[in-house]
Amino acid sequence: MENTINKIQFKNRLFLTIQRFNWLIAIIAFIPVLLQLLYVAVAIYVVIRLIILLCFVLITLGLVLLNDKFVEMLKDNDIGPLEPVLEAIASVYSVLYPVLLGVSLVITVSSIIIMYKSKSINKGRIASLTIATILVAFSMLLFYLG
Amino acid sequence: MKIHLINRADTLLFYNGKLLDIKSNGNSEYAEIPHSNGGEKTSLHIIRRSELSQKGWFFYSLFFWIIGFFGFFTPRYEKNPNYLDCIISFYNYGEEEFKIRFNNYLPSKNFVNVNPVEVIGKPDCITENFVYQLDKTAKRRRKIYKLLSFLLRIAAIILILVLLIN
Repeated sequence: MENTINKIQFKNRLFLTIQRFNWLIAIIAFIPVLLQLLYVAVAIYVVIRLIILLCFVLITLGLVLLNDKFVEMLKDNDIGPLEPVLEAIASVYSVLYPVLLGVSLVITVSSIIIMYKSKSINKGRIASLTIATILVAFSMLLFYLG
Repeated sequence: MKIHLINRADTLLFYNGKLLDIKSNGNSEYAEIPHSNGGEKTSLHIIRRSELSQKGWFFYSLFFWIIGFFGFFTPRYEKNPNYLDCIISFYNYGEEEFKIRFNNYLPSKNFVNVNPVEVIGKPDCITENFVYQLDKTAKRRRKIYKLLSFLLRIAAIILILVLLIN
């Protein structure tokens, strides 16, 4: 009885640890997607800022253009240091994505096989593992399509 | 004989020293024990135990600390480990069904004895040790684990910093 309990507890903890690693992989895989979203958000911010400044120009009938600081503000539409960061991440992730997906798939498939073989099927665990792998595949797809 | 299990969490059921296979039937769980026509006395062991109460707890926790990347990715150990080793004895008359309801109320601070197991539909059964007992050894070991884990993490950070500087 003692050995059986030890084995079950060991197996459960191992599964939960692996499951957490699978979610870590999913989060790592999602970083470029989040950065792309940040890029889009920054771009939206720049456009909104430009619209507001143009509104100022219209309201003041162009008189505000005589102010040098305002003209500088109008010209300053640079997104900043985000572009080189995105390029660097893109180059790393083009190699990293297949590895992440492979590891995630191996973890999910092997866990499900072990669960079915030992007849200790846990639907929640299977769902969690599968969702994490799908997230990795989805972010990889977004990365390569974008 | 079919035993319906209500509200079971991580308790394990043993019959004649062997783990009972718990099956799921939609939302409910049940276990089946072999039929007996002679009405022989049967006992069912219901066990819940902390992982840190086993003999090789140190190497067990060390192993998971390592593979769980400094213990960050391995689930936490129970703060108040409760121990349950309950025996339900009854006469097995074959085609019979009854229910066992589990109470998973685990007090966090002030330890209160609660009835963890309730047998429904089997009035002739005898239940022994049906109380949660605070596992003081596991609680002490958890404290040791937490302290060691913290110190090892600090040591690892210092080691990494030294390696980076050199």
